[in-house]
Amino acid sequence: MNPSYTPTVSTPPPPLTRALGTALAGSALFGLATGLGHTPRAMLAFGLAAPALFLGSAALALPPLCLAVSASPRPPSIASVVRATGETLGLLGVALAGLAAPAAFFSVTMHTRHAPALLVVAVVVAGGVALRSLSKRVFVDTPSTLSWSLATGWNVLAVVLGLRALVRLGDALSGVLR
Amino acid sequence: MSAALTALASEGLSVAPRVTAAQPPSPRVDPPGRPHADLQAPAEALDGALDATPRVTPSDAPRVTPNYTPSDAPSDTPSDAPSDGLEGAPDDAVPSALTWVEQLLRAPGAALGALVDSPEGASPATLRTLVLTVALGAGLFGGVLGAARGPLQSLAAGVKLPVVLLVTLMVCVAPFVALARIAGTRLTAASTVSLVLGASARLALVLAGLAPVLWLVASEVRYHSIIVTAVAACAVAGAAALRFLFQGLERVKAPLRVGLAWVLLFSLVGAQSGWCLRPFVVRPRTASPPIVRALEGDFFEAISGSARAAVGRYDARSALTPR
Repeated sequence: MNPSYTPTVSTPPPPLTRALGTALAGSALFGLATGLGHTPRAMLAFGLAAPALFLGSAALALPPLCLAVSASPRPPSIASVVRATGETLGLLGVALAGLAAPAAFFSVTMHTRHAPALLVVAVVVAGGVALRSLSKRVFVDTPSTLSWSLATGWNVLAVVLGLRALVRLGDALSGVLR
Repeated sequence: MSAALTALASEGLSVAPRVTAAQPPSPRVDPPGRPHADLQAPAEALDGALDATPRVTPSDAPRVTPNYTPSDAPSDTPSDAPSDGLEGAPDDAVPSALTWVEQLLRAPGAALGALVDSPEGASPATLRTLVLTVALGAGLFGGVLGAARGPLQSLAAGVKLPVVLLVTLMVCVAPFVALARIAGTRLTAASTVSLVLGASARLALVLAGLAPVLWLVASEVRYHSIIVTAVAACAVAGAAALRFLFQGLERVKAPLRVGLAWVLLFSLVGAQSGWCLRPFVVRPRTASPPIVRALEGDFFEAISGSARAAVGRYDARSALTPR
């Protein structure tokens, strides 16, 4: 292997506002693409629902995260936890923006019961990967049984919160689609 | 599975010529009578490459491997050598395309060097060659696939199969770039497009190579044998493309999960786009086969229906019948 080879991109992290803007724009784009095969009203509803889901779930899970981190042996600062959350949301926004094209494709070509199932799977996988990434960032400096327990507990809580938000939004969107 | 994929990806990397940022690109001229390989590679790696992939090279014509061609190319570059296709000269179109075909099939490491080592990816001329390779290779296979039902279906399938591949690529490129970006790899959008297009071109080439086998089966046996042969050919071609793809990802030190996510997404989108443009092989009982069926059901519904039918559970109401 050539020693001059640079395996990864080492760019400085974007500011928090830019990361949040990316998350907002990416998730909105994904939502709009998801509703492309339906009515304009449904498209708008999806475009609003996706940012509400991802950013709302993050907002719901952030206070317990700060609490869990504070109880860990060597807690990072709250500011760094918030920054890590914002950066993770920014990356999630990039991923969702990329997934907008397949979402639009499936929205237009698939009108069966598998379509919402596929959408839910995509949303859950994207959210799960983001959750794992954030957890690794925040709890990585304190590898102990206590911090592992706190991380697991917070992950479970975040998943439950996210799924609850998803179900609530799903109910609302099914009304729009009818 | 991941171990097998890693082994596949690592295999052949020792013989792959590489161009790094620290080494300015230079034209490579292989001596006559010698297979083209990286002149900077260690001798033992070169020997391994020669053992692994025996190649036939005209003894009287030096060759230029498909790689960078800087503007300050030395004057000792043979003027009559086949071009690498990156210079864009119209006269070199045929040789460069053939060189690319040869590289993709025989020395994927060398092809990967030209596709992913530069942040700019492949040149526009190379991209055109790859798209053309996809269109012709998949078109040939599709034409043979539909030939059992006459020239019209053959023509339709020959057009539809490349469209399926290219539409799938177009839909998947943005998520591929996004996934590579968030995974922290050094793949740029251009090199991602180049890599995926290269893998697709290899898939199409293998499909084209297996098209005569399919033709042989289609001319002698019935519908289900055509299906089985086509699936087997697609599996072989898919394996060749996957190997190329994972070699490329290994080359840029991308995590294995990026490749797996790409493959999963490509499979889903490809299955659905193929479903939208069906039929490719028409059932014999269909009296007047359509060129494209109505947008009914989806690929997953068809698979689950077939799985139920395989165990003897038929649902007459939801059964998808050809129209």
